[in-house]
Amino acid sequence: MTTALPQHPTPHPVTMKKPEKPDKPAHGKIDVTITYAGLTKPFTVKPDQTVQSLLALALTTFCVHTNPHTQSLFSTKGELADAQTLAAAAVVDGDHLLLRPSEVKGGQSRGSNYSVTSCARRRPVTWVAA
Amino acid sequence: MNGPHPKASGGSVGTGEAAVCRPVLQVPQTVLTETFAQLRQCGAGRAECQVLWIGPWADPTVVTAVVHPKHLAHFGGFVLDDKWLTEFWFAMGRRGDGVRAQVHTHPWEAFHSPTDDAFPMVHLEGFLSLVIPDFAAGPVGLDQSYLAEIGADGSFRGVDAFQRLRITHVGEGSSGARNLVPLSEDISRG
Repeated sequence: MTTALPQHPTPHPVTMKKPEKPDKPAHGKIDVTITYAGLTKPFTVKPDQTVQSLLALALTTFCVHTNPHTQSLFSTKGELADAQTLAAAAVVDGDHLLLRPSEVKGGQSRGSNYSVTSCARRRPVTWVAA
Repeated sequence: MNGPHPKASGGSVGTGEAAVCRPVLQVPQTVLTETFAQLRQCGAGRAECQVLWIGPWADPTVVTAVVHPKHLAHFGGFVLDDKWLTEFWFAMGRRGDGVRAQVHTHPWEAFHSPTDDAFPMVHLEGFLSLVIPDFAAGPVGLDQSYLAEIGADGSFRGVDAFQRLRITHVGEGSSGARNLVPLSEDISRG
């Protein structure tokens, strides 16, 4: 005689669904962050949009209205080409980009009618590494 | 070399309403002293030089450290190193710091040149650019300097350095020398 062991209900197979992030972007979009002047803000973008379009959005978001043509987006590897798509520029979800001027420089040089500056300009330019 | 500087801080500068309303930037005396020392040492009376006054975004009215960027310079100008700039700004983002003002020298008089206007570190309204005459060989202070600020229209204009900057001393206010912080290891000093 066998004693039937109480049958436990066979558990139904459970498919574990990966919990979605509450702020997960819509399908086909990626999240990146951009830092300008030490401030960092999030952006949700499509990989097939151009770097130029993200640059324009970043300039507006950070309220950079002066000389926008001097600004570019950079990754840790260098400047991103404006005409490229983000995908072509190897920008992926979670990337951290930088908005900054392509060039930062200064100096007293100005119009040639300024005698002191003209004097300085006549000197041979010797670049000194600092 | 120490001729008159008609556009220096004590001279005629813009006194627009926006300039009057802006908060005063607190600069520790130690930062000002270190600034002059760095500008003199790097430029050596032969080349321009630039340093950056940084501070936390949590309190944009204080300067906590001076940074000497990696750059190339000659008698009448300088340009910052591109790779250094990228590393610097990423580090600033991690630290939550920003550049409160850029400070650079001119060989003779202090003024804001077209190059200074067009290629600053930051293009935001309220950003300050301080120019020190005579390769910073003069007395440590703002007397002969020229301070420019980005206005609401996005362009630089001269402002009174003594109205926009306040030199603080150790133990005074919230920006004493005790708050000077070294650059993190991931920012290379110039």
